[in-house]
Amino acid sequence: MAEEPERLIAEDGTRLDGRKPDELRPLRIQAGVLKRADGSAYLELGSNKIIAAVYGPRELHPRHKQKPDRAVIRFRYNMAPFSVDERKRPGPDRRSIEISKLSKEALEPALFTEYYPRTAIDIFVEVLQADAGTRCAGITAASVALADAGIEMKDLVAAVAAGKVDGHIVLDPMYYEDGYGEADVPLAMMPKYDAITLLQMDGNMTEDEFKEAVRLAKKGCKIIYREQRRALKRKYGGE
Amino acid sequence: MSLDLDLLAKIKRHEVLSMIRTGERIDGRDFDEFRPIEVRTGVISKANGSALVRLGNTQLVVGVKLEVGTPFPDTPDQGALAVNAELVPLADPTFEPGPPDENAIELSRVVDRGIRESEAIDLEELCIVEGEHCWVVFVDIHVLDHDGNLFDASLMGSVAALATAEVPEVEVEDDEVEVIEDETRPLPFRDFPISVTVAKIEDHVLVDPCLEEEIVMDARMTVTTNERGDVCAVQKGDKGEFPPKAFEEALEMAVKKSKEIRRTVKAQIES
Amino acid sequence: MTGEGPVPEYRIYVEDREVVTPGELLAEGQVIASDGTYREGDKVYSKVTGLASIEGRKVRVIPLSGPYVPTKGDYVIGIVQEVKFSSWLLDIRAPTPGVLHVSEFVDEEVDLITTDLSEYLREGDVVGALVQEVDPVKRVKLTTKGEAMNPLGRLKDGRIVEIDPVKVPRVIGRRGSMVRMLKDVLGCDIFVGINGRIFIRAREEPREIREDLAVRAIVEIERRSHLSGLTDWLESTLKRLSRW
Repeated sequence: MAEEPERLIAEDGTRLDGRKPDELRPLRIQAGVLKRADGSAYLELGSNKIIAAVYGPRELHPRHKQKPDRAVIRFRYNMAPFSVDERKRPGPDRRSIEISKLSKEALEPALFTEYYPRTAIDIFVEVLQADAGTRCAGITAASVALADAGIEMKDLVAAVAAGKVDGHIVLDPMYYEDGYGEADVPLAMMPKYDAITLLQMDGNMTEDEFKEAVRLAKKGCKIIYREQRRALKRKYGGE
Repeated sequence: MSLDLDLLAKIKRHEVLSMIRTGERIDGRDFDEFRPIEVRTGVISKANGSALVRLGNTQLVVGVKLEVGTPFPDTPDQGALAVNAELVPLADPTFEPGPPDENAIELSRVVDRGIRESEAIDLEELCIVEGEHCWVVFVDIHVLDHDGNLFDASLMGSVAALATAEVPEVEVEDDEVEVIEDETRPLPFRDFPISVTVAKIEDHVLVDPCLEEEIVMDARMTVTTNERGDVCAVQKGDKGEFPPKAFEEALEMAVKKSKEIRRTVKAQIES
Repeated sequence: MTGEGPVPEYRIYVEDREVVTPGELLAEGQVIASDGTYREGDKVYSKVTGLASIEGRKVRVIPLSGPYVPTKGDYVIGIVQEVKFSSWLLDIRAPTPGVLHVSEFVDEEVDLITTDLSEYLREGDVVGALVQEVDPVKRVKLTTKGEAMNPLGRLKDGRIVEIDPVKVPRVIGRRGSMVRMLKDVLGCDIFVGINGRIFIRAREEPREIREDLAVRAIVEIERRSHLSGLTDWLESTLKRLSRW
């Protein structure tokens, strides 16, 4: 990472990239970008570039892993070697394994898994370019890919992080803010239920600051949710 | 929901074959016709060079990353090249997570030989301190959508990413290499290898097989040529054989076609 | 029906034919929540990406993508993927295979101890079947006995085309008009499985060409978002055929 900027937030609350504290980076979502996958989505958030694909529900092998009453959800988060400043060695590491587990758990409450006994629903997220907030961007994209695959769902899942930077609570921290900020709060939710399905925090905040970060992340999720729905409607001719 | 390949082959075989026998391909192309090619460079700003390739519905991204490393003992005055292909499970229902399998390794090695044997990269220019420090050029091929002919698409992407890659300037002081990220020069790229893969199906040969054709093909041959038109790498693959006539036709078709494909890819990089 | 008693209290929030997404509120109150929807308390939501369909108080969502979901009575075209001791497993493009028990395929008594069921059906064989039952845990039982619009049992000497199951109604056409036209014009038997598999067999020579054209016509129908140009395409195809 390059040198730390002198200050991350100006006196009037403007951030390094010109955003206000409660503003998302530019967001673009496209549904149905791959031919082979049963469902897919491409997402850009700032300079994050993420692609998600869904295969299934399909028969799960080996059979002893099947669940008689529901589908097994599998999630793989993977970073392309060229997605970060220093080339990442291909293959999973402890970070990506944890993210994969939490992302699966963030999406599962939204799925009617009981409709697909003995099957697997495979979700693959590839980070082509990373710029802070990739786990949330991955969940957002995966949720659109699931809906594109025709999987029956209670709601879409939207995700974004909030953070504490120079003492300010901000939405959707970018690279420098994530690297030099005081705290990071990634959050995913089902907006329809106002229910959190992923929540992590690391850093240092007062209880009130943490609550404010959660409130701000939820606000961001609602904006993202609108874009998710718009992307699906665009693909299927509704807009 | 997804059929296994054998079943798919069974369904598709008759369809693909009966069309080929009457002189047509399943997607309406001529036997010597590629699918539409789209190459976009500079798509990954975190990489030193990058390209997105669409060959029909086949899609992949290639990223080039440069790292300071140590030269190989047998080439102390040269930089190093490492090509790696990831067939991530997002790209095909049969791809499995895990370390590269034999297909991924074959793919990366065929691309590697095309770049290496055409001497497209001037590796001597990438030596920093002889025997001590050099640039290592990582070419990472990331397949996103597999609809056939990953070989040609991967080399196109690699060449496009390399041809537009930038090498950071360095300062060497007391045997320490310091990279100056803001100052760069173009990667010394001096040839333009292109591969053309020819599939043999019964007595017919055809270029750029799509997935449905790959499933039913007997064998394939990937011919890589350099800018002069000389052959610099060849790979015959799959279980079938090439009798003399099919071999000659395939070779002639590949060499002839490579000129046109090279022009197309170059034009796309420049635009 | 109307005019008697209080008018049922309900509200519908989407237009007929509107594209909706999972979690979208469709209606509230005393509506009939049908396929593609779910109810929570008084409210009805979509559970898929699809087209809302409103018929009076009946609200449903027609999915625009997704797997084939077997329903009792469906005519499907399956491919044998495994021969078991007393049954065959058929790939029917559903999330899990359909089970065809020997008694649902063979009329006579079969001694399972001495008989290898691949004497009747082997891996890769194509079978027209009816969905007999989908049990509560979504196991699909198939049969080749009963009444169906298309032939039941093994389908031989033809070709198979696969299309997106959600596009099957388009190939069938209004009251079967599209598939009937193809059959007549091209001189082929065409059996459409609701699971997006279509069996084609020419009735007369030149068979290869007739089948080729039928395959292409179906691919064309699947591809085109509007059917307006299709009759023209078929006419020019007909001319092409008459040259043979």
